[in-house]
Amino acid sequence: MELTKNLSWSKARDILKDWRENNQRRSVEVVEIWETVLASKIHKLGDDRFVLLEQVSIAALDCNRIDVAASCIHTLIKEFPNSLRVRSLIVMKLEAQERYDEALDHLDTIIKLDESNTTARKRKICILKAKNKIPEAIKELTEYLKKFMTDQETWQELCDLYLAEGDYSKAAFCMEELFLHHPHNHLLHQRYADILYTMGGPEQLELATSHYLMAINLNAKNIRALYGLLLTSQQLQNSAKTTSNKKKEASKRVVWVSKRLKQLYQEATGNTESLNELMGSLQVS
Amino acid sequence: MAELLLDANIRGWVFLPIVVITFLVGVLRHYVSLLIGGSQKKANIEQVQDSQALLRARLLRENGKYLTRSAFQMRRYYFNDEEVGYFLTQKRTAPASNPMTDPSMMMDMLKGNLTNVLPMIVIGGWINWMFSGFVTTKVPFPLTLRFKPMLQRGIELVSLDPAWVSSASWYFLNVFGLRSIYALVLGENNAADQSRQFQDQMSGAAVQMSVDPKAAFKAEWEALELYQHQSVLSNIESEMDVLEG
Amino acid sequence: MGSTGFHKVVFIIGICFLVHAAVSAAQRKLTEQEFTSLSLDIVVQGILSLIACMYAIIYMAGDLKEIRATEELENKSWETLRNIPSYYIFSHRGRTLSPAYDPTSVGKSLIDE
Repeated sequence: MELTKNLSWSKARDILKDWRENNQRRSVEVVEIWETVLASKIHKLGDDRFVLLEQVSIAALDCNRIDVAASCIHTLIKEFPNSLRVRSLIVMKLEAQERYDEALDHLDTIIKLDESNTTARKRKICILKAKNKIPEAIKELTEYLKKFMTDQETWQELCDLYLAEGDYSKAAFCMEELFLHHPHNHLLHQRYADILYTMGGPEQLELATSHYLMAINLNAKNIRALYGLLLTSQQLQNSAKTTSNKKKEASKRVVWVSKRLKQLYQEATGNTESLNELMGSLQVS
Repeated sequence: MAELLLDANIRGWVFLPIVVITFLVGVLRHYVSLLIGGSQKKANIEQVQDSQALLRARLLRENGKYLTRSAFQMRRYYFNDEEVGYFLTQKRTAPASNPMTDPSMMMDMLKGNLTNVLPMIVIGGWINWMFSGFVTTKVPFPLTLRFKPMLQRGIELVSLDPAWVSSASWYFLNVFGLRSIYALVLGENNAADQSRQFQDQMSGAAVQMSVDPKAAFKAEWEALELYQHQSVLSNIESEMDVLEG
Repeated sequence: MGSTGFHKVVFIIGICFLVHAAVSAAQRKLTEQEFTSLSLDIVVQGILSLIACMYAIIYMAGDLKEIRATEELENKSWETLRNIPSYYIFSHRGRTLSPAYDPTSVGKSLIDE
């Protein structure tokens, strides 16, 4: 493939490190880089190699390359025979092979050994999720969050599961928890507003407006937030329940945000002809 | 005062050896502490839970302004309600602080002493005995007389300029000053640390909380009670001049 | 903003000049009997080479970070942010694309229940 052509091992290492730190999934590429470039150079990586092996094993499991994962995990077991972290990797391999009962046995022993081990608890929830038992997974997640209430990953996961179940108000609660941690992340505000907009209702729309504005304030180029603001304002404008004062504000917002959008499209492409047409068809009733 | 000239042998046989010895001892100590300090510290789940609750309450106070009033009240209720609030219903006893009752704590103390205090005393004493009474170097700026006991340990000369540093003081300056060099040489999360992290499995949540949870709960409860919720959402629009044009 | 050959050359030249200035200053101190102050050419050479070194090293030290914390988030998408490795599940539909996928061996656990 294109990606791995003429890739030096140090470059490959940097790419994988970047993906690892930014939580990029890209499992197929990870496995490919590993197989073509890094697998033969593993001794050159020094102590980075353990983290890298872990990353590759997870990626390999993600694209069902059990063989690759097994060899990586094997290397790690030889290095750290007693590590619980490596043990979680074994569990993940069992999960990928759908041997869930064995995986659960392993997880229970890990939790017995170290009751504050978060990875094992998370894997247990993942097994429920993999079995498509979403309500049970949600229940486990809430139990987990009672103990580890600042675990942002888990709040986010719970949010996603609530959304899958269509329980928007609870999903919104989880998003609130997330932007309490990172109030300066525009994506969280935008996501929260998305959820509120989906819920509908005048109060929610008002709140969605403020959070879209917050997202735009934090990142002026967040197109999704701009469109979201446009839609919420339009809906407020056309709703029978809003007072005339609020309607006036909403229409001002529509004008403002359309101008903003046009400007951004102008900067990016140089023409706004097609946009005008599209905007017209963007009415949601 | 006449300019003091130091023998080049002092540089070669006192000044540099002290630097090298302190540095190497520091490196050695690092690895010894890795060797014997490898025991896993298991976090008590209750402690983890408490520290996370405190952290969450603190975040609520810091960033609660981004929430709506009802969302804020809901969270405060969770922590502070008189009947079901977390801070009032969770009864925690103060941790046993007596090391004699907790053998693992005693072991930790012993290890800490073994790697930190003992080498200090032994090497310090040895340096004092071996290299005592030398004037080793001079700091390149004038100092007042008050610095004499700090910089001229082991030399009781009233007329000596305080800028001169004695061998024993040079050792202590090295002990404290080489810390950042260690970080540079051994790396901040150096090799040994990283593989140890693997060994220990990652309990990212295991933030140790040694303080008395009861007192911490009380303080956080008070702070939350006193917190005046003021949403920043209402004036975001005027801030951004959306309604102007 | 990467380190280029140009910056490396500037840095090496700058260091050389700086050392040269230092050596000539020391030499004057040794040879001149009445040592009062440094001559102008040494001072100028020292300062100029220092500036050259500083300029080059800023480019060689690697990329600088933005002061504003939000700047870093601007290029992130929700797709990366929402991706949580701890909660990966492996029995997703993408699995069927793998060359090692065997449709008969998996899916049993779901059917059993």
